[in-house]
Amino acid sequence: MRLYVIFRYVGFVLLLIALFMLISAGVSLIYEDSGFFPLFYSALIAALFAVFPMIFVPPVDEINNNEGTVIVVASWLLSCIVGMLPYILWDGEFSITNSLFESVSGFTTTGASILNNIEGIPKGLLFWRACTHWIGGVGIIIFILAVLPSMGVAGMILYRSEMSPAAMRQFKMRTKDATEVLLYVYLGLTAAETILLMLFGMDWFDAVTHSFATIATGGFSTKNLSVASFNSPAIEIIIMFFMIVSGMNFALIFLVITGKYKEVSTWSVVKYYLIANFAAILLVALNIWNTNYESFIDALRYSSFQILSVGTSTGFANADSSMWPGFSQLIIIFFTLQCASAGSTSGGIKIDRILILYKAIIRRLRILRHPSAIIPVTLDRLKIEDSNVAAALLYIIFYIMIVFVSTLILSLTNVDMLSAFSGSAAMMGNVGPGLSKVGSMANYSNIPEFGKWVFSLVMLLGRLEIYGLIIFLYPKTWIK
Amino acid sequence: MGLKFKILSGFGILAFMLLIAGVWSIIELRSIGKTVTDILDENYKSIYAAKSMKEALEREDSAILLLLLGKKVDAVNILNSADSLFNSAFNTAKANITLEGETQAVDSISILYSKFSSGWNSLLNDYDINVSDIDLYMNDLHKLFLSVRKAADRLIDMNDKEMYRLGKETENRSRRAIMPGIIAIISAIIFTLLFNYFVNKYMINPIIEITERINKFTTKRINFDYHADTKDEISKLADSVTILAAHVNTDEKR
Repeated sequence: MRLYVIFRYVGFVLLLIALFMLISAGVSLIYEDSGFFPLFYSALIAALFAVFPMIFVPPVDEINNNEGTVIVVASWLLSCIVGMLPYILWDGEFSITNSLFESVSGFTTTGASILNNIEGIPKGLLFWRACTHWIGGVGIIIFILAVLPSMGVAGMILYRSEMSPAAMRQFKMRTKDATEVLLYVYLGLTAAETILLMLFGMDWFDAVTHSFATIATGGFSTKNLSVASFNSPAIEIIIMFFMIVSGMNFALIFLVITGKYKEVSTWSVVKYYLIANFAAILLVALNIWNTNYESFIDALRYSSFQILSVGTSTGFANADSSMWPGFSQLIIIFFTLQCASAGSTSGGIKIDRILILYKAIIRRLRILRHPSAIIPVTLDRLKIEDSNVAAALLYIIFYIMIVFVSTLILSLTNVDMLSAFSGSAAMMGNVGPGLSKVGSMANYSNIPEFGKWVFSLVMLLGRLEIYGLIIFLYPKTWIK
Repeated sequence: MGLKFKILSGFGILAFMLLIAGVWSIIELRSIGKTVTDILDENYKSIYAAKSMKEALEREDSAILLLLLGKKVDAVNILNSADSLFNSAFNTAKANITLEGETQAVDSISILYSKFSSGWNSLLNDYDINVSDIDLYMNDLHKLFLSVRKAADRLIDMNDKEMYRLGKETENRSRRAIMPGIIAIISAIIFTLLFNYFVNKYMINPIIEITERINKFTTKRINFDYHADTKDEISKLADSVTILAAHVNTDEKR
């Protein structure tokens, strides 16, 4: 393991963080709030740590897979640590634990907050919160790869280490092209949503921060009552549209933009994603109609927003779903675990793996009927290797196991079972709100300190798709 | 980049980190000092003035009772000194209005006190006043006395709350003043370790290796072959030694 290479590449990430901190400090200057010094000082520290390895370490074109994984995980960890500095320095509700939780929640695009009074936070810091979503949404390394000139083989290794394995199938292009596609789609969607939100009454600050949070499927709002505080169906519809789009594979969005609709229509992931979400919206709307809301239109409005918010792992809220009947809450739990497509900014198990699980079950049933038959698992008429099927199934089991262990640990800290389970599932899926005491209109401030550390770890495990962090912590990785 | 620049950049960054933390701490400490001065100047003065007003009022109230008991000379003396104490305290409070709503509180003291003082002034001018006029005192003057005292209490309460708020703010600021220093110290420690690692990796280790290879060349005539990753004085030294070794080899072959 060449430590100096790790330092050099992580330096690029820190430089990016410093740049966004400086922009946020600029926002603080505009609004003349108390966030300027914390942001400026943090930016300086990040920049100094970023530049120093570049002075010493000469450019390195080739890195191995091991180094690639370590660079990616170290970048995420350091981003979260450096990202908490502005919060600690500003103080207020931000203790060290709370700052780390907020920072991890931002970068992993979870959107769970410990803040009781979001509107009391300086605008510069709120902008920084939104930036952490935006940087983390597309993936810190993907951001770097798209912004910096060609990194050759090193770039390819980093790209492979950062990208979800479930998404690699759809991105059949050169690394440089793929990262450019991701960034163009990301920038385009953010700009489009910002403009639309401004057209429908949001000021520029709220429009930009909410766009950052939507496209990254994050969920940090600048308001205590999240999107509900705007009480505007038009704004909710815009956000819902962009939540749906952000939950789709970015390669697919690029195909749509470039007019290749025919290719898109064959993607079963998209079909399942849309059908599942719309079916759930309808079922929940029927369930909460007359029990929570008198008019069906209201029931539809709140069910569609809440389901899409959870189903895309965004986490915005326009209603308190903790007050809904058990049936609706169970559907929300299912979507908290599943989330959206691989290759998007969303978290969770991801639809691609759920489909593989479904196909594997069907194959198993067929084999039971025809024991000597050789039946491959196929998705969109493409055969999926047995090793990939096994990897997907193993991932789902591992995922559920982590949610269970996290629930168990949280229960030990006297958190009620529904809050512990839904919170753990929401952290692992990078969704944000759970149910009960961590519901859509509540926050995580009441979770004990130790629980917040556990949740921070679970958020990182979810964002790095489990294995990355485990490989990073495995001693042999560092010895090789 | 040369070694000089690299070493200087390391120390420069370290110094810069500490400088920024120091400057910030100084700014925060100055701001704490200002807050403390503000508390003393703005709030404590008002509270002290309101307490003096209350003391003057109590004395005036007692003097009125003395007046009713027929001790007019003593009552007049007390009333005059208490009135001057009240007016002086009132002027201090009026000159020290800093809070929202404080103007209204001071105005209300002024209005109520002028009613109260004109009440006991008219008593002073009444030559037939005696203890049988206690009802007049109970129904009129004493109620006015209580109202003025309540208004003064309101002024104390307002300033008390502001003092508490500023005190809390000062506590937060002192925490904020410490935090940059703590972060600077932690960063400096991490930075020193990083600097140490790079100095070892790119300066000390190459020098050790070059020395070892020179020794091997001089004792065992093993070819000197060293390529530095960096383009600094170390790589130039290695190149020079390589050329020197090549010359020595050529000379010896001759």
